[in-house]
Parts: sequence; structure tokens; C-alpha cells
Amino acid sequence: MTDSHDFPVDLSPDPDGGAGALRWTSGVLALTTVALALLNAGAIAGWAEELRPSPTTAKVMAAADAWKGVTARLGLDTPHARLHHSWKRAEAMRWPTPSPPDAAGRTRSSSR
Amino acid sequence: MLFPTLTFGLFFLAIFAAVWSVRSNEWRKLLLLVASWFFYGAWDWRFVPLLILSALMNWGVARLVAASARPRAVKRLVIAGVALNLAILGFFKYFDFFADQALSLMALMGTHQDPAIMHVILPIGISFFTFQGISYLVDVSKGRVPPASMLDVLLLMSFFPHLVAGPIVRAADLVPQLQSTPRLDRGMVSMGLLLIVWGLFKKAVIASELSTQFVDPVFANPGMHSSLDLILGAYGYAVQIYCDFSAYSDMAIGVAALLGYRFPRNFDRPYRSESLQEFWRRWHISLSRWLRDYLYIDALGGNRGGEFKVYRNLILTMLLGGLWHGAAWTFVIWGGLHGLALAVERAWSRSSAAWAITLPRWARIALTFHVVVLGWIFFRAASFGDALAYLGGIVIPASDGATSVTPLVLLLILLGLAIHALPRDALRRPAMRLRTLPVAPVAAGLVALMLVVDAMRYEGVAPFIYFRF
Repeated sequence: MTDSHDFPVDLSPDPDGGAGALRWTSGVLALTTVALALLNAGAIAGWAEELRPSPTTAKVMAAADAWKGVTARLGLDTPHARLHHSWKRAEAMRWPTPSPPDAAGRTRSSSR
Repeated sequence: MLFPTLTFGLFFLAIFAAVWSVRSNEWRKLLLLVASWFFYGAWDWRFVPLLILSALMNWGVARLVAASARPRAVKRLVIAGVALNLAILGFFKYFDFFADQALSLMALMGTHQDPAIMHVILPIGISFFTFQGISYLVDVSKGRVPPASMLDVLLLMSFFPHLVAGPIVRAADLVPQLQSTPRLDRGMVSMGLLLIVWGLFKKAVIASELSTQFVDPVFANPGMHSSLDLILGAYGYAVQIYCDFSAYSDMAIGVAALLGYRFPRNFDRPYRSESLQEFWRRWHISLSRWLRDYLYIDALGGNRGGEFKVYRNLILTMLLGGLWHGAAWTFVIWGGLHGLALAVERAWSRSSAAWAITLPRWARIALTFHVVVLGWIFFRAASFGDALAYLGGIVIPASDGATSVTPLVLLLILLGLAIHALPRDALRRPAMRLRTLPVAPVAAGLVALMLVVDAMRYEGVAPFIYFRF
């Protein structure tokens, strides 16, 4: 390894000299934002709930909840919900623990 | 305003749109400066003037230094400037600590005083922007960088991606970038986006899960856990602090890249180090370089003056590096342990025994890792007594051999260690590929990755560990 300063974002220059890079970046950010708002509206509702209560934030909360309801009715929250469910199952997994011996004195492994 | 939150996402989108719609570089910098103060003020508006005053003070003293022709006057100005910086840091960071120590000492001598009425609130990021100011001042005095404009110094010290938890970006790296109009290229953006998502994963999934599900409960009550739990808890904290802090650096580098600026690397797979010296070239690189250049070499004399002074300088540098993290004996011991280990390592490498006994690479990595983990126990523990109780619990466990570690937590610990086996520039190849793709597939890939991370993240976002430093 070296002790020299290096900059992780330094790649070789774009082949086209970076022409249209700003439009490309803006497009990526805009499309990503819209898609996440569609597919993860629960995050917006969760964020709105944590805002300091005020008449304005009450309107934001209502709008975020309504938006969450719309995307849920369209089934757009399903991929995120399934992934989250799988993660929660992984979180709940425990090591197999030996069961108490049965009447015949045998033990079996079980997991919670 | 934490990076992995929707509030920051909305803030960033607004800044991105505003900054890139302005043609004048001066206006762009002004926008970034106001945005940075807003970002800082989101924690506590009362400290925004402190940040501004600190930057103005360093700008002013550096101008005087540059205008002064007499070396003695330059030296006096630099000493005064550094002392002012340290006085600000010392007051906010160490006042309570030293007041408590003084009261304890007086109590020992039989003089009882009321506890200090004043409790000083620690401004977030003060250690980072103070060190940044000192480095600018010293660099100007040594002719390493020319004095910068007021706007550039204000932005150098306040720029929001690095403001609260680094990396400590030096004037030589950032000021030349501020002086020219930034330009985006797809490679830089692709790498920036990947670093942001990678940082999100490390922070929101690995660090948060380990912290809440295992490490915090084990450190909170070591007496209730088995020896195995305590060992795994220490490994878990080593992974947690790496994933937490390197994630912040990755996201800071990525966010800056989307605004057209390059920040230096701050972490380079530290747990694959074969020595403590190598560890400090891979861990919090911007701080260790700062300590080496300004404290070890400039202030203490570095390797000059014989072997004894070298050992003294090593230990002093690490002790002060420990104290930089916070006003607590645990940090002093952590720094002292690293200083002592570096001194022993140096003595060993110069002794004849080093030629006779050569450990294989894996053993050197394992030995270094365990010295680092030992240090993390002191770093993480609430007090020196708690750290000793933790270490005592490993040797003489108070609980039976059962473990509370879950399969997922163990997997995350292993994953956090396994990522150290990745190549140094593991994200470079995907970034090169990403930049050739049209907008839609890039956005689709980002959305998929961010959905996966969000589905796995722990509810809520804990502050980054290094925010309190």
C-alpha cells in the first residue's frame, strides 16, 4: 500500500469529455427520487410522522399518508414489504437449542 | 440532519439543483456556504457564529502571516493563531472534564466544593473544523499553500459534506478546487453514487444492526454475558465503528462528488494491517496524516533527536490523538495503548530478535487486529472501570457459556471483516460500467439497491459515532 493522497472518485476521464454529464446526473437523481417515492412511500410517511407537530406538518403528514395509501392500493409497496419481512425473519432466527429429553431419554434439536 | 435521512435527501436535492443552475463560481460558493451554515444550524443555530468566527480568525491570521516578512513575527502569529484555535477547542471540549478532575482532586485534599454550575455544550464537529483551521494556518506559514480568499477559507472550514465528521480536507486539496469552476463527469458521479449506497449499507444495515441487537447490550452490562459474548461483542464493536465511520466518509466523498468536488480517501480496509503503523495509514487517514504532519513532525520534531525522542514523540502524539476524541480517561488510555504499541513495534523491528523470529502474514494481521480490538474496548466503555470489568469478564466470566449472539449478528460481524478482503478499488470497475449506461438502467439499479438497504435497515437512524468528537 502507499501513503500517497488519493481520491476515490478519480476515474479515467469520460470518453466523451464529460459532455452531458450534468443532464445525465440530473436524470438519474430525478428518476431515482420518483421511483423511490412510488416504491417506498412508507419511508415518506415515517419521515412525516417525525416532523415537529404544527398545522403545516399536519398537512404534510396527511398528504404522506394519502400517498402511502395510493401506492399500497396499487401494490407498489409489495417488493419493499417482502424484503423487510424476510429481513425480520432473519433477525428472529436463533441457534438450535437442545430440547429436554423425551420419555425415552432421547434429545432432539429445535430452533426458535 | 443525518446523511441517511429523507430530510438530508431533500436538502441535498435542493442544493444540487441550485448549485448547478448557477453559472458564476463565486455565487455557487456563496450558495454552498449558506447551505453549509443551514446544515450546521440544523443541529444548533447557536454555534453557527462560532464556526464563522473560527474561520474568519484563521483567514485573518493567515493573511497577517503571509504579509509578514520577519520569521520571528510569523512564528509569533502562528503560535497565537494555533493557541486561539486550541483555546476554543479546549473550552468547549475539555472544560467540564478538567473542572470535574479539579473538583475530585480538591475532594481528595479535603476541600469540598459545589459541583460546577456551568456545563458546556459541545458544538458538533468542533474537533474537525478546528484541526482544519490549524492546518490551513500552518500550511500558509510554511509556504505549502498561498493564502486563500475569505470566501474560500469560510467554505473550506464549513463545507457541509465534511463539516461534522470529516474527512479533514486540507487547504491544498480543496482550495484549488474551489478556485476553479467545478465540472461533473459521469465517472465521478458514478463513483459518488456507489459510495453513497455502499455507505448507506454499512451504516444503516451493518453498524446499526450490530449496535442495537448486540454490542450496546453487551457493553451496557458485561457482567450478565458469557466470555464468548464479550469476545464477540468486542469484535462486533470493531466492525460497528469501522462500518459507521467509514460509511460517513464514503457518503461525504460521494455527496461532494455530486457537487463536483473531490475529497481524499479516509479509510482503506484497516483490519488487514500487518502492523499498528500500517493500521494508522489505513484508519481515519485524514486524522492520522494530520497528527503525523502537524503534531509529530512540526510540533514535536518527528524522528529527529535520537531514539528516545522518537519513542516519546510517538507516545505523546497518540496520547493527544486519544484526547482529541474526547475528554475522558478511556480515550487517553486508548491513545496511550496505541502509542505504546507503536513504540514497542518500532523497538522490535530494530532489534536483532526481529530477524530471528518472523511471524507469518496471517499471524501479524491477527496480532495487530487484536491489539486494535483491545483498544476499542477502552474506547467504547463508559469508564475505565467498565473497561476493566469487560476485560475481567472475558478472563473470568460471571455468566454461563451461553451466547446471546444471533446467527444474523454473527453473519454481519463476519461480513464486516470479510469486506477487508475486497480489492482497494472494488467499486471502480462497477463505476466504470455504470457511467456507460443510459439514465434509466442506472436509476433502476440505484432504486433496487436503495430499496434493499431500506428494507434491511434498523428502524430509525442512530447518530454516527464520530459526531460526538
